[in-house]
Amino acid sequence: MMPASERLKVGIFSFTGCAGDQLAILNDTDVLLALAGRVDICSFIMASSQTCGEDEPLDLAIVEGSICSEKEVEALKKLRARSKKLMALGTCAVWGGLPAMNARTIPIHELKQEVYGDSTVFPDAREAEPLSHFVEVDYAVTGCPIEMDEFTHVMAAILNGVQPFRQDASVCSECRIAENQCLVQAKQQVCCGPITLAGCKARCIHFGQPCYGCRGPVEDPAYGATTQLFSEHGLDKGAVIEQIRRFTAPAWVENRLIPHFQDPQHMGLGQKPEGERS
Amino acid sequence: MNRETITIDHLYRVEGHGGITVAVDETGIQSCQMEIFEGARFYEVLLKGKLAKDAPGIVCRVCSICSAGHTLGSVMALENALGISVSQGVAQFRALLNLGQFIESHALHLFALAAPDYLGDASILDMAARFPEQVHKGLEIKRVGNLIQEVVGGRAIHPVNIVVGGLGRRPAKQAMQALHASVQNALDLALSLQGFIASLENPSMGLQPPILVALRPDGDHYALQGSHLAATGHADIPVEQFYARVNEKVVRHSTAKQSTYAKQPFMVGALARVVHNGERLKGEAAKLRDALLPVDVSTLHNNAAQFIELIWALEEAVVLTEQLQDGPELTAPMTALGFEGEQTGLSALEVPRGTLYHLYGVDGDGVLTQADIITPTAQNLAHVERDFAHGVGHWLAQAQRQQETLRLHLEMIARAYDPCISCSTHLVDLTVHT
Repeated sequence: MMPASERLKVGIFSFTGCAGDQLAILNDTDVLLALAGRVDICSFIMASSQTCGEDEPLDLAIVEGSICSEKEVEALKKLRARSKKLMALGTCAVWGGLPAMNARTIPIHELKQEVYGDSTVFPDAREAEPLSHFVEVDYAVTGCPIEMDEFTHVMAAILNGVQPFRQDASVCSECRIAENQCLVQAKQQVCCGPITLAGCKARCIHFGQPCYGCRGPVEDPAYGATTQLFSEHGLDKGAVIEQIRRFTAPAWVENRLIPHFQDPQHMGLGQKPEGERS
Repeated sequence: MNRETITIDHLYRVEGHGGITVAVDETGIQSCQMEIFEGARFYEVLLKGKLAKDAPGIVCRVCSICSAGHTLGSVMALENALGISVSQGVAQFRALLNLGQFIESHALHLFALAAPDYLGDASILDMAARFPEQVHKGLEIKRVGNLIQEVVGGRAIHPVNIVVGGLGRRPAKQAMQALHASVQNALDLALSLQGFIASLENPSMGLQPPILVALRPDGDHYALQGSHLAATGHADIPVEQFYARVNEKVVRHSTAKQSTYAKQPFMVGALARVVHNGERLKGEAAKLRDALLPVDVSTLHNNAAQFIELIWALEEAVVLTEQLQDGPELTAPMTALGFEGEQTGLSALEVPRGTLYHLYGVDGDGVLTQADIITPTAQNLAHVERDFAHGVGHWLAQAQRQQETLRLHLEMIARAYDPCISCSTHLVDLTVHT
């Protein structure tokens, strides 16, 4: 075990989400124990009653969940201010995740009205957004939940003082290696594999499920080629839009990635999803 | 007597953020609220307009700990809407997945979260120094619970292999054989811990008998599904009448809604199941029920009931992992769902923390028109407040009132419900404002 003075001070924190990324770390006792031997995990509410003080400086903050209230915005900014580096952990933190699925389609007061019957309750609730909308993010480990080998690689790189390798292959590449049947070609199913970041070893397709894009888009999604592929197999563009919106809507809505999505009608917003009908 | 407000700022075991406020004056307890600050996620609205077939993959993300339960509940509700029955093999694999969830969840709660309180330890880490064997065995049992979910569900968190109408891919025979050996070993480990569990004594906290609600399995087996609901002091009712009996209401201090059964707070979970259906248990689980539960149970006996269920789940999983190694091909999952006109589907399923309800409305295009999910923790919240009030009343009646005792007792009550795990072994920060 390294001397305490040389160890990085690391905190694991959580905002709104299902806690699945923390749980993935907690479930992998080998990785957790190895990490605990190398760094000083001074805050990990899910695992330990020990928490560092709210002003204590950190070398690395690992942050899970999306930001869904004004209180969370403030807490995140404070956390960023006292942390040298910040890692967004999991799809909610990196892309907004499921809570942000309807990004900019239904105003927050309407959501509150519908669920609680009163739009004035929980006044500080806001539309879910990813961490990067509020603070600078140094490292991003995506996935719903994260893949532990990827998290381990990134942590190993950080601990060895090198920049983590940045993956930019699509799920299709891993799907070919796994020798899965292509669901678009063979079964005319909508599959987000061509435009989604690899790393999951095409897990869903292995089990016969199409890719739902839960890991977020690759750096330069081949949108044109993908829609072409879909139309060749009788599939509608709207269906893939519906599918990719699920985990990473803010990224597509804010048009960082694809100019095609500028037109809200094109996003399928306010329309019924067309499903897998041509 | 001084006017006091007792505030528990942080409750780390209810899927995020919550706390408790108790206001007391010279006439007694004025209010006792369990506050849930968890950010509202509006799943019920988010689901509207989505394709029904995609619902299971969305709702499992309500909670990582309970992701298998939500996936199963959602799939079953949609199959109910469509009038689909799955083959016996598919049903057995799904039952095995749920057992894996029980084994993982109950082992974690018992050994990592609840036991340290009884032993005077702050956490499992402290406990591990004095009880290394128990901690090691507990974590191994938990690991096997996760392994079942990986083999059957394709992943320990957010399963991908459970789909409407069937199963994505049949787990390989070799994987099932290895799983069978692991489960048998976990059962042996769990049985060796019965003396340890029996040694954990519940302190007296002045709690009143709980009002317990659980599914009544059809047939004569202890099981996790059933067409009727059993409730303390009431005749069984068909599950379809659940909405007539249970009222959900919004409370201002909580983003989670609260429920009542026939206008009374109620408790769901292991204790409710073992009290209502325990006479159906067989084997070692039946012996343990007689050894660990008194006639008059209190909320804290939920911990012992979880151990009884842990043994039951492992015994069941030993049988299923043997049976499911060979067998006919499973029915292929449906790729196109044949919805005709507006249909609704309800499912009720026992998951580790209690009965989980999923209700969906689907139109003729297979698009969701409504969704309602009622989780066990939400059902328990009003009953937790009832127990807290009794616990605080008992504390106030004592001549020498020590805050540390109240803190520990309130923590133990909350922990006994096993509210969703986003949590630590350290539950609350308690401050008393005078």
